[in-house]
Amino acid sequence: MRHLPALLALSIALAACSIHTLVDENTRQSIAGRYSVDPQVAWSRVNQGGVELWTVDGPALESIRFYPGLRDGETFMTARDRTELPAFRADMQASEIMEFVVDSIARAGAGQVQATGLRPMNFGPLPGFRFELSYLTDNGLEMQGLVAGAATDGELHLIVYSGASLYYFPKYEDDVERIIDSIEML
Amino acid sequence: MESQATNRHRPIVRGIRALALTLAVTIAGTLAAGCTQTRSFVGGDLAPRSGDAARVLLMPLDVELAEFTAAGLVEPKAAWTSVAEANVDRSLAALLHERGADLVRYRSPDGTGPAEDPHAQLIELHETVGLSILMHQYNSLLLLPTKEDNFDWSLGVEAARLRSGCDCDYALFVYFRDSFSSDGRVAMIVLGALGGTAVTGGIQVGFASLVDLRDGDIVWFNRLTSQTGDLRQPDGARHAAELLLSEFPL
Amino acid sequence: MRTPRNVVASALASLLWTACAAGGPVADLSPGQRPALDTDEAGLWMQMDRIEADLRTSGRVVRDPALNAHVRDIVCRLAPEHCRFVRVYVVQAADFNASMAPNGAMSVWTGLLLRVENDAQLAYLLGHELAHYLRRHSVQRWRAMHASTDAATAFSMVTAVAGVGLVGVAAQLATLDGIFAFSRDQEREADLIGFEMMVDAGYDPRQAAAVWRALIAELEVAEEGAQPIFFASHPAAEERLEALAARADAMPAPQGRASHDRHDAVTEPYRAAWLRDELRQRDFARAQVLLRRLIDRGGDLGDLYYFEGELYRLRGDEGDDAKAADAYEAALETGTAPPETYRSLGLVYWSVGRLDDARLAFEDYLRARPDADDRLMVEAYLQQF
Repeated sequence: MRHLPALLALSIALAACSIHTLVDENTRQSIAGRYSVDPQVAWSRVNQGGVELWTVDGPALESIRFYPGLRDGETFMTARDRTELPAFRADMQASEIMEFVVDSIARAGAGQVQATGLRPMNFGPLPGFRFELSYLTDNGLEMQGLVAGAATDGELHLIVYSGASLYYFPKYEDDVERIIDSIEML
Repeated sequence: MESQATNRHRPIVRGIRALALTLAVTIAGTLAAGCTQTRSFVGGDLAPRSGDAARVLLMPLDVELAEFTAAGLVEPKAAWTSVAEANVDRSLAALLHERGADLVRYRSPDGTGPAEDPHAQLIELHETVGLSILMHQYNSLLLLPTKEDNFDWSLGVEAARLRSGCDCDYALFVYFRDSFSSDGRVAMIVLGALGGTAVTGGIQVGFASLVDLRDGDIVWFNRLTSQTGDLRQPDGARHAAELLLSEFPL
Repeated sequence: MRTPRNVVASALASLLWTACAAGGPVADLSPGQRPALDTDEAGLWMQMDRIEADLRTSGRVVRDPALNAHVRDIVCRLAPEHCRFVRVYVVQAADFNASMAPNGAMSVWTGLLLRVENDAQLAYLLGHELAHYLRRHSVQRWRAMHASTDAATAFSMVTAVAGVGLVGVAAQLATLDGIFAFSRDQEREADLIGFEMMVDAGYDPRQAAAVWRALIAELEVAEEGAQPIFFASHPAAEERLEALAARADAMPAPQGRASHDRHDAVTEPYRAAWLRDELRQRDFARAQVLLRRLIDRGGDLGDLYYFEGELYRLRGDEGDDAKAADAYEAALETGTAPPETYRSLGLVYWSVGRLDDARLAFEDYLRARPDADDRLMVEAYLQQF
């Protein structure tokens, strides 16, 4: 638990501006007023700078993140060092959006980031895409992820589910699939 | 991994200072009046013993002692750490024996180094789960509604792989930081703590968790914070281990 | 804050400490030497042992035997009696960096291997790192800081340590320079010793200065504030270049060997992945200088022109789509461009509205890579033309 003090402190700082609230599994949830989903199970939710994060066991173990309407020039993650982060561009195709996500995760400190299986898939009524992710955390823990998204009218909707490959990612994978299937635009 | 939809990144140093301040306040709160505190959680069902005595696999101890110097530097102490490690190991073995359990020390499978250890991912997962417990069960600002009434943390059934070769019922993970300071520069000390060098100045912090190796469930978890105690002394280590194992289910 | 319960131990510790602090210059490390357990140096080693163990399980270490043997062999040629006690880690990370921990853990970033042109340049840099280890610079620096009453120094030191916890394992070893903040004098000394080591081992002395010459060209165009980590506490590259060039000039001709063969052959299979890492930094001006240098050196132009195209496509400034298309076409003309070149070409043609050309490029991509992992997506693109 070498990284414990830093993580503890980080958690305290994050908490200062964000208390987790319960997502009721039986109530459809609005994501930033853009679309709604059926949560399937009870989640703890927190909003981090416009990103809606749901988790059951804590974001270090698994989380589903909803990015509602990323705009041209906006970034996916905060930087850890001095140089520029990859930014979303309104004219990106799905291949470039996948590249944007992968590069962002790599820049945030993940190792061996791989994206596979890019394919078209509707995001609610919108023509969208899907792909899978695998990467290592800072400490070398193997993570898996799945990403659903659609770019429309210069905005990018993304849903990123990720979790530890051991136990946690599989734990809610089917529920997350059903959440994505349940998208209805508002 | 932190994520945020933002165009600019925050300077990391300023972030750290803000964190340090928050941490300092928290520590000051929990450690008022030089007290010793333990707080444990119990979850899941205890496995029935495989025989007369439960076999407990003791994972490699994570112990480190440090000194805070007058200049505010954190100086890791190799000799102290080595003595403390031996003391803690001995104390745990004795305590488990008194409770009728057998202790088996973890050894990575023959011929593998730490990087190739087939259990490395499980150990890494345990660390991440342990941190999540500390964050979300102990910190009132970060409580998860989904965890409020149920302590149901787990490593999953893959944890059973740790049984191979020892036929153990449980795995016990133990973490200790003990630090000594003759100086009251709390801010500096807390900053050092953020670097993972030690948890804080002049206090002892310990964590322990017991994993049921049948299903990977964490059946017991305890945190110890104390402003007294000294792991360098056999008695001190014994006392700390007793505190850490208070409400231990075996 | 409490005082240690055991007053004797405490007094002993401070006595020991005084002895250390008053000890003045420390002797060089003898082969296989480990510090006595009750010293401050042993504490540093213990910390580094932990960080090293983290690094080993972090998934950031490149394990390719040929690559590791290449770096290791040079270390052994430079310091044969010490090489048994030095662990070399090739760490996958962009940017020019290497570091040496007091316990003998050396990390070399792939961004450095990408930039180094030959064995002699690498030998100079490894010699520089070895010098920090052999001269025990870390513990010297630690003691200097101890003795210092300068709170600002202590503060920056502690924040550097704090940063380590946050930036994660991959950067931990490399941030060592930051933690221990070798002094300028120590850096100059390491330069000098590194240079002597490479010359003694028979490498071309002029290559030491060449390292800095190439790096200065990158720095001149780099994003503001994007000084490579390596320079955080180092004397300016210009100063080092001049000092090393003067030393090389003073050497009698003929000069030693500068074998290009092994370094190029060993790093070639990784060049594409490492260039991808560089592009992720989004410091396009720097990457452009680096790419131009690699192109001038020769090597697989199919790959290099492809990455030049990728650079323009990712940068996306006015006119970059056209430049990207030119680079991709140049890559394809070499006959060795990766199949992904067609896909990227399709994307930039699409972006500028050349839909027929885009369609052809995507079709070429699927032909060149029939088992493409993103075939369904590309087929969906094709339906839109």
